[in-house]
Amino acid sequence: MNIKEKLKFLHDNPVVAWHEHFWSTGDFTTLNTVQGDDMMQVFDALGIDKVVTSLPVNKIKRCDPEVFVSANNVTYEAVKRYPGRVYGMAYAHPGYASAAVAEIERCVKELGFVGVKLYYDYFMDDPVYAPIIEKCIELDIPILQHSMHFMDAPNKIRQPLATDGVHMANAAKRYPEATFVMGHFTIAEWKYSLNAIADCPNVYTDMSGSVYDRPQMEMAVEMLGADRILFGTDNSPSSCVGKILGARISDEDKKTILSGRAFSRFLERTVK
Amino acid sequence: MFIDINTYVGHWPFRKLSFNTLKELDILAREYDITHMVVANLNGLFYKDANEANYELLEELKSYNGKTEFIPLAIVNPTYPAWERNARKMIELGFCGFELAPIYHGYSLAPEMFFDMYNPIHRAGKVMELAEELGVPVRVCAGFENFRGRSDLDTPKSLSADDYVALISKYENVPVLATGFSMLAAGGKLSELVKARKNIFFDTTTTATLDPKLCARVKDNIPEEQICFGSLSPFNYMETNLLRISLSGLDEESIKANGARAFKNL
Repeated sequence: MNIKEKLKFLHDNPVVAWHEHFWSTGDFTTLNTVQGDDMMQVFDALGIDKVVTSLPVNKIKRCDPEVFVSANNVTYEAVKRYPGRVYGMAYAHPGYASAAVAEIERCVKELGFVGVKLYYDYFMDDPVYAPIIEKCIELDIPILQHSMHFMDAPNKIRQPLATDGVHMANAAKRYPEATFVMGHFTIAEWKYSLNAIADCPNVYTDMSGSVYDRPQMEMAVEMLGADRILFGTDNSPSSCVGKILGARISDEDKKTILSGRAFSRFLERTVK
Repeated sequence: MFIDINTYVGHWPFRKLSFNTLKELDILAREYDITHMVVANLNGLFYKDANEANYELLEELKSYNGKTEFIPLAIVNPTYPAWERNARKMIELGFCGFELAPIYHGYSLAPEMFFDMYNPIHRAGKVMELAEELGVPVRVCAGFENFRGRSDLDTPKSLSADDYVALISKYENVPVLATGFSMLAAGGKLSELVKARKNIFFDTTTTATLDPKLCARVKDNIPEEQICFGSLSPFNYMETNLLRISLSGLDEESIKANGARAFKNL
């Protein structure tokens, strides 16, 4: 078998990548169209039909509302530049509760965004997230949380509030009506986080990220079921397409993951 | 010929591996018409006497009857008594080269100062000298698991460009397989050395090449004829690396075959 023949599976089936980033030129005000066009070229080659993108602000200092509003406008530029293929998720800093909630509402109702992306500003089960989670329940949109259980000291220092599966499970039990996505389960100590969310039906996960340890896909399907796993690359397309093609899981499970069947309604509803 | 220069059998103490026997690697290889796999036994990173792992691999090879041709490397620990005798014996028994695991065996790829600061000892260099004498290559893997997910009992270290420079700068006749090292980080002095020598090879394991700009940087650092296919099986999904060589714009057929140039008579 040639890998290009195997790749036909993606070209022959609907593929939605739920965890992507179209970056700004560095200041969160202007879309980096060069990076965006390069990414779209790679997505085309790999058979990825639709992508959901966000622009979280990874500033060491605090992210004021005007910054996250600007970042979301950059995401909207990407949505407009690649119409019908790119969908937006809103990023907001939870420390500014009322401004964050207002921004999420603007992004969903005015810009047609399909979800919220949260970063490592706080652990997911921190009460500071309550207003955002409650707004997402009201708007019926998913919450994608940057997550990983780091084992290495540099990242534990750099991202001390990085959420892992335990934090996700705590939040999910507190808000069973919310829809959570534990971002890139594949990175860092992935089995730890999979175990933590296995019994939380309202926590989904995505398989994005540069790490492609065998057999993380088989393990995720066994522990969660394919319908709780979303496809995504987090800008690591070869790693992620390789993972899905190489996984010893059924074609039906692959189709379920690639299409993001459980999340289709979010895309169908809010296209502008 | 299609050769994967970066595979292992054996166990990893920190998580369960699958496809970690010759028979199972053969299944992976046949799926994509890989004809040869360069293989060593991971257990040799952890046994006090690494050579025990070489004998384990030898036993596994005796009972193996699959299609893929395995090119076995003997794990050599130059800090252990009688390493040289054992290494010579392994070549006599059919091993095709050596593998160094300096991070796990506790030494440096560079000359090290011990009691006499005027006479550093280059333990890795001793293995290179033996490899030169015997006409075999040496493989050195920069790291196995991604650093973010390593067990607390594993090492946080990975090999750097300086480590490789220290190893390869002196022994110009010894082919080196620098596996698991990002070709994007192989600039500067390492890139100069690699371009000057034709017997230093890198693999695709830790280098994303679908982004055209990254791919251009890879080609700036490493001549295409020194880029090889490597999967780091059984740690990783092989398909990722197959995609990287298939869609990168690099010369796919050359990359599939380049690894053979490190070995005589292949």
